[in-house]
Amino acid sequence: MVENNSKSRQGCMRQLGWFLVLSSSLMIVLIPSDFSTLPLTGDMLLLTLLFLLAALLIGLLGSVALLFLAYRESLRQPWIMLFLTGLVAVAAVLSNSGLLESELWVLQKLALLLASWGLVAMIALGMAVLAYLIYQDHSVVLVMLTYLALVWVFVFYLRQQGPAQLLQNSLSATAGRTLPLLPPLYCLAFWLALIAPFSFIGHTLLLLHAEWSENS
Amino acid sequence: MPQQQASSDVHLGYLPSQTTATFYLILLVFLGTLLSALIGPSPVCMTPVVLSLLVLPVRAVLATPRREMTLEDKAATEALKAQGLYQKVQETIDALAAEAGFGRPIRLLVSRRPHEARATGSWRRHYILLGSSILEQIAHDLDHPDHREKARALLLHEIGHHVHRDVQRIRYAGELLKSSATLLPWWTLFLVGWLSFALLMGEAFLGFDIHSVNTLTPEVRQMLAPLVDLSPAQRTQITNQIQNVSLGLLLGFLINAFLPIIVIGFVLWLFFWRRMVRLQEYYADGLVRSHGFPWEALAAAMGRYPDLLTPASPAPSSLGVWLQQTLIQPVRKAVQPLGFFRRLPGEKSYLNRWFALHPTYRQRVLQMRDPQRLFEGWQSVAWSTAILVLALDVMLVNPLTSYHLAAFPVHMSTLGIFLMVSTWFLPFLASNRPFRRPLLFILLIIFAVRWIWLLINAGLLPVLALFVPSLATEILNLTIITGARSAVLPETLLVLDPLQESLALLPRLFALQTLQLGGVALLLGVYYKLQKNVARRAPATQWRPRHWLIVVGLSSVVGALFLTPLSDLISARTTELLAPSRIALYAVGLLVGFASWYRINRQELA
Repeated sequence: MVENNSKSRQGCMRQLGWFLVLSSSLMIVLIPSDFSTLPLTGDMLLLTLLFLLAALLIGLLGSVALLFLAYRESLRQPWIMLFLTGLVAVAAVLSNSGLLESELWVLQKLALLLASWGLVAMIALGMAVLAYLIYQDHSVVLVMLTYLALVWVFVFYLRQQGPAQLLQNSLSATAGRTLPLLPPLYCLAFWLALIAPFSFIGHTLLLLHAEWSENS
Repeated sequence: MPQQQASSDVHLGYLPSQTTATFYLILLVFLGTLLSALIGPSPVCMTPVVLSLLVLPVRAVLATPRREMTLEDKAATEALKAQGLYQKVQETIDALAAEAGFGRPIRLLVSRRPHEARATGSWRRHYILLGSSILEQIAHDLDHPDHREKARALLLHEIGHHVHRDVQRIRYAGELLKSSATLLPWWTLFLVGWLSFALLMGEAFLGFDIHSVNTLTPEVRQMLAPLVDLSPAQRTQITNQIQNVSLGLLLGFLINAFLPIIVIGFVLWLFFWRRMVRLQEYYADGLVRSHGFPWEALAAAMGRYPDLLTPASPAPSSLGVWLQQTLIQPVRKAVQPLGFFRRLPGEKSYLNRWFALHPTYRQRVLQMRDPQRLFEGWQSVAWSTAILVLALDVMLVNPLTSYHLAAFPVHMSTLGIFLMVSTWFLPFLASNRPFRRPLLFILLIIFAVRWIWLLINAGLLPVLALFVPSLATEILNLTIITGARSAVLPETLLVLDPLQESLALLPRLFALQTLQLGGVALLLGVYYKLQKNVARRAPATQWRPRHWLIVVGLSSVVGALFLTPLSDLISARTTELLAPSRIALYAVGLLVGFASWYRINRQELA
């Protein structure tokens, strides 16, 4: 009975989560590029803008939170982390590719949509890393792979662009386009630097406690 | 307490086990590396690298029960408990463990693999994992007068692994060797990447001006400026490093420092770890025999429970499961028709025996019938030690490098030979049986293998210096500079005449090798002197602790106070004789020696 209730609650969260994803995406697509064409002025325009922003924030973050809860079992696997890392990479490339200023409405909106979800993915990636490292004692492996990839991506760009250019590009606002592999790796490395030490220590303490109390 | 058997002079249970000796040998190699990292100069920080190798496996052992629990069949456990079969087997395990003198509880786990029978656990948690099918069979056999002894023999065999601490040692050593194949390549790749990047970027960083980045707004540039601008002190430090540190030397050092450990880890895993896994079975069988079970009963148990003859495969990690499902199994399936992975029926081939994880039925029966076989087989001790010594001294740290690096590789193999050979010949001393001939053969094989390689190696260099002097000059200079563990290139070449240098090195090289042979002879001689009379006189229960105390004490004193200063003298490193790190080493050696001596005397008085 309890299991059935939990399943139905999970199903509800899943439906609501996907509904919020769709509605937030739709909102991003339908938001006009130029608000001055709207028949609103002064306070009403400000209120509308604030309302839209709040609705977007609630929609984007709420949908992610609901989907995380609905698919919490899947957070034991690394796929969600990898997907979010990929999303950050795509968003970083698109947001710097000039598509946002494109003449074509479809391209412009697609870029905006992906860039918005990319921003959310940066926060969601942290939550996914946290959940994964709570479930799995893989902090060492994850840190090793991420930081190795980061260092060799730097070496790759160094060979490709030369030291002076790399330094310029890495500090410029268009880093996402010129160094597309760096933003997702930076983001993952940042979250890992925050979470992995606690995960490692926490799991070690749990292991020591189990060993000391002779619990299986 | 094991009972002395009439069929053999010396019982296995009282003697230091070769499983333990092999475990200590593996540990010795890595502790020696840690010692080298701690006291030797190094352009990169070696201590955390080696320490991570030694510490992470401790944690892996702690995590073993959690991993093994994934194999537990809870439904089958409930069903077996309802029938009372689980309780019956658990009670038998408790009774047998108490009989074997094992004080900690051993929990029975029902595995999802129906025919599994193995011991598992961590440092303080002990389990016997039985498949539901085999557990049912054991429970029924315990009621059957014809099969009761076989069932008890099987359970006692698994308890034996806990009594001998095989579970922890095998797992720790396995993880240690595995980490040398995973952690070290990671450190190598990471440090190579990081150092290359840092040194190559240094110059660009010195000439960088944040205000030249046009894509940033002036406000952002202003905000980033304090982060990017260097202080004069930082600027001087980076300039010095760029001008003085040689990237090639650093990378050379990294490869030279890590590659030997990776290769020695592989050799140890291939020969020694597997030997340890095989040997533990003989000792577990020995424990069964020491509790009054005739060897025929154990042989019959192997016939009734064939799983006693198959190597145990622990529960894979979640990463392992994922790899198995996504990579290994599809590849295996794809190449199956080609005939790889086909297992030959019946006996293992001679070559297979070297790498097998479990002894064959025939080997175990022969061993059970005559427990002395384990000690009398000098060939196995000789060849496995020769392989280790070859790996340590020749394959990895060739004589030239060992001459320039430090004397530690020489000491490690000396102590390794002493450890293996002394453990082998104690039973001969204890039973007053002749051992001179096989001992001579063992030393002959070990040193013949080493010296043949040394001659090839030492002979090649003058030949190279004669015919390709430029190459010989390069090799010698690189070896000396890398061996000095410096990151700074010297202003002039250290060796200009390779032929003269290589000929001048030869006497010192041979002196070092003679020192090693002398060291082994001295250690074995003193060991013989200390054990000759006492081994016969002392109660059998004291043999094992006394042996390990003598091995540790002698190794420390001879290694620190005799081998180290002498090899420094031979290598013409007289300035290092009184260096603080050396004095610390002498003090530690002396301290461990005194502590061991004190414990031995206390034991004798008791």
